[in-house]
Amino acid sequence: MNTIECTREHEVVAAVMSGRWPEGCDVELRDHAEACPACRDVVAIAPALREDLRYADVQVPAAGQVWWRAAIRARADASRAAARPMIWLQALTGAGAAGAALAGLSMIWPKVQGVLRFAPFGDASFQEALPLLLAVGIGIAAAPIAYFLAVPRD
Amino acid sequence: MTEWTLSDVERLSALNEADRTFQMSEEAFRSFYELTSRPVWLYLARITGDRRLADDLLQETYYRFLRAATTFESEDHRRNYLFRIATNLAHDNRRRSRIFAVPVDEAESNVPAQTESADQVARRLDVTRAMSTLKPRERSLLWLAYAQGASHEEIAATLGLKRSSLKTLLFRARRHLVAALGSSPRKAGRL
Repeated sequence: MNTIECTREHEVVAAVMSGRWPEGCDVELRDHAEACPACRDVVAIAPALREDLRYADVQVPAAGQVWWRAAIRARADASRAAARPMIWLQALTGAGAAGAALAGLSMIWPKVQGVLRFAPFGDASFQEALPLLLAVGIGIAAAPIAYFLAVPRD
Repeated sequence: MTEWTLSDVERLSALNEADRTFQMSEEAFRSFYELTSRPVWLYLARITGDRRLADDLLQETYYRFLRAATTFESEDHRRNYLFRIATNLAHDNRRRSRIFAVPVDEAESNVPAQTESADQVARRLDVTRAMSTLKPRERSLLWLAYAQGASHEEIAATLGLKRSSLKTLLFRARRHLVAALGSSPRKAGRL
């Protein structure tokens, strides 16, 4: 006998599901279930699982509450999705502004260099001062972007 | 769960939008929910072993169901789709948090119903405890097959399994549950 599956298993399951098992079903089916290893296993577990589904203490939220929460969530998701391109656009704008600032700085650098020669730290060469100036420029440009991205807007 | 803070006007507006955003009307949803919420919640509670997680996943299941852009051929198809969402959410959650150690809240979920005999209650408790020792997929299989009475096609569709492998998996799950139940005559079903 095939112990993995029995051709009459669905009959046994149907009897359990309909509440006919064991008294309300054929004696012949009960005899079969007693003799068949697969159906014996089914009978050992299916009635208890069915009773669990039927009698377990379940307190689900009201349908209106679930609907309402889903509606609010859908709206919040839609708002977030709508705002996403704007956030990217703002970040791109910030990056563009930073690039323009750097380009402008490089254009006026020779004049700045001339002024720096007379400053107290005016001995520094262009190459020596460049990392510091770049860091300051990037910091000034990136600070508003970082602030915008970091602060929650709910 | 995330708490949304919206004004009353926004709430009303969200409810108006919901009918357009969701795949069914509120009235249709209420009917469907009344029929399915209890079995879905129990399914989630039994495969996760956590009532509170089941509460959260129930809400998420219905949210994703409402947002789904799927055409349903029948009520069974609709119902199976809902269980598939619930299954995927439970399994995703398990992969993320690994909290399926399953201390099933027996005291809470196994309050005897007035129509239940002491023998029925004891048997139900035994099976609930034994179920908690199985793998999540085995729990899903057994619950769908023997609590819901789902066909092999429905189970395969819900769990994303091949029908050819389902019989073997179901057989193994059944054997594991029977072994976990032990050989006590009380624990076995009445023959």
